[in-house]
Amino acid sequence: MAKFMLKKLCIMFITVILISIAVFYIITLPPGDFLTRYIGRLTAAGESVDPKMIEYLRDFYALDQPFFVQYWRWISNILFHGDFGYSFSLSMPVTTVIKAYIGPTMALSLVTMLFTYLISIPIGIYSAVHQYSAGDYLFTAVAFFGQAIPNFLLAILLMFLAFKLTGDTMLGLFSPGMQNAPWSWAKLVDLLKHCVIPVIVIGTGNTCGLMRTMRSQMLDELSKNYVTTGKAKGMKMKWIRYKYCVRAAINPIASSIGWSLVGIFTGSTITAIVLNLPSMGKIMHEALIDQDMYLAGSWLFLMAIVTVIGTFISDILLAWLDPRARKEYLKG
Amino acid sequence: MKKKALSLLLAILMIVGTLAGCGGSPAVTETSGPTTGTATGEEPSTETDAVIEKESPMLQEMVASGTIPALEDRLPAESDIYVELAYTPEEVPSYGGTLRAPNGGKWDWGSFTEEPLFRLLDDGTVEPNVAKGYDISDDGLTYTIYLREGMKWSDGTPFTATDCVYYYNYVLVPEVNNETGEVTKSHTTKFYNWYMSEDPADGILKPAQVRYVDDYTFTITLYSPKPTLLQAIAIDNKWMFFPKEWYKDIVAVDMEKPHWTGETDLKLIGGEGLVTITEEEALANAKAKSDLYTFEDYSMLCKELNYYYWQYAGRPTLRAWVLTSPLTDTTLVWTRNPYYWKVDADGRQLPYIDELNFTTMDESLIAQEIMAGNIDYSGINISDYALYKASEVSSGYTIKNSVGVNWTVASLELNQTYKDEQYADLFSEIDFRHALSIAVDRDEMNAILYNGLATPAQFAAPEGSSDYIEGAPDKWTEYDVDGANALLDGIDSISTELNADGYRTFVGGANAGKAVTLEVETNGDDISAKAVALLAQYFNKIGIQVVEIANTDNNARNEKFYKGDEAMCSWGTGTGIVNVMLRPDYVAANRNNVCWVGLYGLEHQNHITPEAGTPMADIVDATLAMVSATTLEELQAAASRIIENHYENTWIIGYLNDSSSFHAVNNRVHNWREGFVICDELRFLGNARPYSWFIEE
Repeated sequence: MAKFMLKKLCIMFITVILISIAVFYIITLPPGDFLTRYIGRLTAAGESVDPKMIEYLRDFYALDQPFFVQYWRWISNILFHGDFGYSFSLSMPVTTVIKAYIGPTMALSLVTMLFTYLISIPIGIYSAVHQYSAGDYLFTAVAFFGQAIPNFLLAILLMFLAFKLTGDTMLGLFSPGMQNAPWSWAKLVDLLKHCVIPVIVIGTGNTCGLMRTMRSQMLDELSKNYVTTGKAKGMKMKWIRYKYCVRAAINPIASSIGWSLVGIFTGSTITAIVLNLPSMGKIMHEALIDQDMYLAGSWLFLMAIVTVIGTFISDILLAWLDPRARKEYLKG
Repeated sequence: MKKKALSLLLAILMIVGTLAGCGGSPAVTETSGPTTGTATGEEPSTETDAVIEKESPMLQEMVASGTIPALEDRLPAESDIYVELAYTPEEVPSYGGTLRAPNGGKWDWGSFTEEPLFRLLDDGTVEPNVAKGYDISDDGLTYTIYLREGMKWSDGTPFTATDCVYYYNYVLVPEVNNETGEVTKSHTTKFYNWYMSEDPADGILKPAQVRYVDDYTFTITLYSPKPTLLQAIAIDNKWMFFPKEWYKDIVAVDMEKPHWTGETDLKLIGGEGLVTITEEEALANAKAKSDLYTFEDYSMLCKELNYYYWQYAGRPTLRAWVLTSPLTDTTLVWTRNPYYWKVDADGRQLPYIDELNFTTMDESLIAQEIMAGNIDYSGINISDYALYKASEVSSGYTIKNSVGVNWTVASLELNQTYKDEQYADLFSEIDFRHALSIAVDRDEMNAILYNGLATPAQFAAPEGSSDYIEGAPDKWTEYDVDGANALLDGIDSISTELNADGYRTFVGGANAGKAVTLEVETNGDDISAKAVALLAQYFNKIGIQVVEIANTDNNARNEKFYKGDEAMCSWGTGTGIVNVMLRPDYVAANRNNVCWVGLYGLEHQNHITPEAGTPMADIVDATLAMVSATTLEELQAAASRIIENHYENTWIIGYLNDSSSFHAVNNRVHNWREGFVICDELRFLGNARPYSWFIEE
């Protein structure tokens, strides 16, 4: 297992380096650079910009230098100083931006992830075991609806419902006036109240998908020979299902954790905009539009790292869950 | 009624500057009979409503706990308090409450809370605000500015003349190249450099000299008279003061070198007690003050902490509320400034409202939040008027009207320097612009775009404005397709016959045989898309094709402009100018991101000079004349030339205009000022004096 993990870690390291180059390349691709954007914004606000100042800044940020010089400047600051650069659209260090948004984003996403797994896995199992029952049909119908309704639409519908029922649209994570209040029981309740809609909205699509995956995997496993053998040997059906079938059926879900992790960090961008959530997705979206190079780049890079870590975790989980996978990896 | 109000307010703009020009007349603000509160004298714990509190209960508690001094020690000397007479509510409002609004960006809450040295009023005159008054010497060269004795910054440190002269001599001017007037470190608009005037001795533009007289007096001395100096300060350099104590270690300064003014008595220029600070030290000192002040380089520090200072919590200000949250917060919280220096007619300290909340939200959410009662006010687009009106009663808000200074709300600009010369030549034909103007059925456009709420009008100053020319708003507004076709038939460079698709084609040149196609850039919003679709229909009838280039990204558009790759045509949804003489922005040939003026804009990096003798050369010349004007007459003459040039040439083809601007205001907000003029120069909503609003559920 140690050898397996070491091998994976080496591959991870190389992947991250390649990704960082690719990320930096992508963010320098669009015509112009952040300085022209910056100038555009100033002139739009009715201010003049002195060309000398632009020249100075361009020189300062090595914008006229070749790609790899710029890249090295960027990556070496991250590696040696933990400095992700400066966000020009927000006029503050990128680390400050990330620090400010990472908390709410992760809190929201973790709750959503918990919601997703806690609901989808049991329902998936139930549907498979009680195939074609009334309950199965009901959940199938719900799952299809859940997957078919776009998140932003669901958000708007729930917002409307909340407004009709409570007189509040439940936007954001806190009620007006609560955000800067010191932490208290009332504030926590307020936060939880505001979490309901986002969690349902962000979680629904994924939950419904996972529900279907779990159901079909379970059905697959239930029809396999080892189940018949177990039954013939007089094992309890419950035991066969939960000890063997679920363990095998959960493989695809475990391997998708890597992607879920990325979701945790980005938050759902469109939903965040509709529900006015202070999540990272929204900031990232703005950074990309503004060509805020360092912010967008750092964020893409972080996302890529998280994906790689997620994949690593998935691999380990898979190997742990399924000895066949572990053997396969070591051979190949 | 609207028009009447506008005419009344703007007509007086005519006399703008006479104030500055006349000189010698001491003007002091209405500080008559202030009954300064003695809150400590009245027991703060009194529960009955009978006793009128002179300060917010929030501050009473702070006084009781010893966090801040008593009210009379926080306010300026009794005779120097600013008494807000005009907007004191009739009923006695209670203190407290939170005003909630969408976060419209730094300029939004910046101007909302702004306290300028001099304030431009609706009628174009200037009122001392932070300043108490002023005197002008007989030769018009020296302005003596009086401050309010005992006035304090929001952290309780005294506000004195040193704070003004320090700002000017050590922060503002050192960033400017004295010879060229160009800004080197931070940025300030070049065109409006109020501080630059021509030295008659050598003909060079030089910055004014600003000197300390005593703690509550300083002087501004020019080399040659500037007819609208106070207006220029009110518009462009509103915050002509800096808390020196707070800034002295974060503004880089070399004390070894002689000061640029040549002044050796440092006290007079606010330099007393300063030590040499390098840019690196300044950056480090700022960061040490707070993590919020972490900047990449010194020019960034200058821009952020010296120019956009109101965005940074902890920086002392003179505003009614001070920002307490970092910019990354979803809701920016402003709490009342205990040292605010204005009182109402009853001597009660302003503001009434304890806290402001500006919450970041997508524009699409604003209407529902207004209707849910989660935010207290927001501007309304005229196109959403019906939507807001429908829920006005049931949702507990009221639609209020203010007066805009629009010259147009629907207009087409043709780029006179477009890179395809054949098009640029066509655009320079006045008959072509004439044809495009009369080919449009403005009444129909009004009905479709604005539910008939706008007025069909040419691009021109509205009636009542000092820039109004009789008949200008009606020029070329009559719908006449045949007339338009006849005009186009007379233009040699395009065909009289239509091609198979029904369009006129170019005759000769690189585009020979190709359809005349106007690529109209829009900001991509619904109303622009509709407008350009309508234009396409109208212009179809005169054989001109229209294509919309939707560019939703304002930055991208500006970026293109700045690089000299301007759009062929551009659709405008609003241009406001309060007074061409004071601020000619969109109509003068100076900006670098204005479609009609294109590369002729003097600030454009690829600036080109129009052919002498052309109408465009005249407008560029008039723009330059505005900069160098030394008398009010010269300034007025240059401004008039610009206005008349637009009238004669219709560089911008206006279709509709509207001077109303609407706001949805929650009914819990009281004392909202009715019918105020809303524009940049008057500081948008700040002109409604929010410190005199109050909240009652």
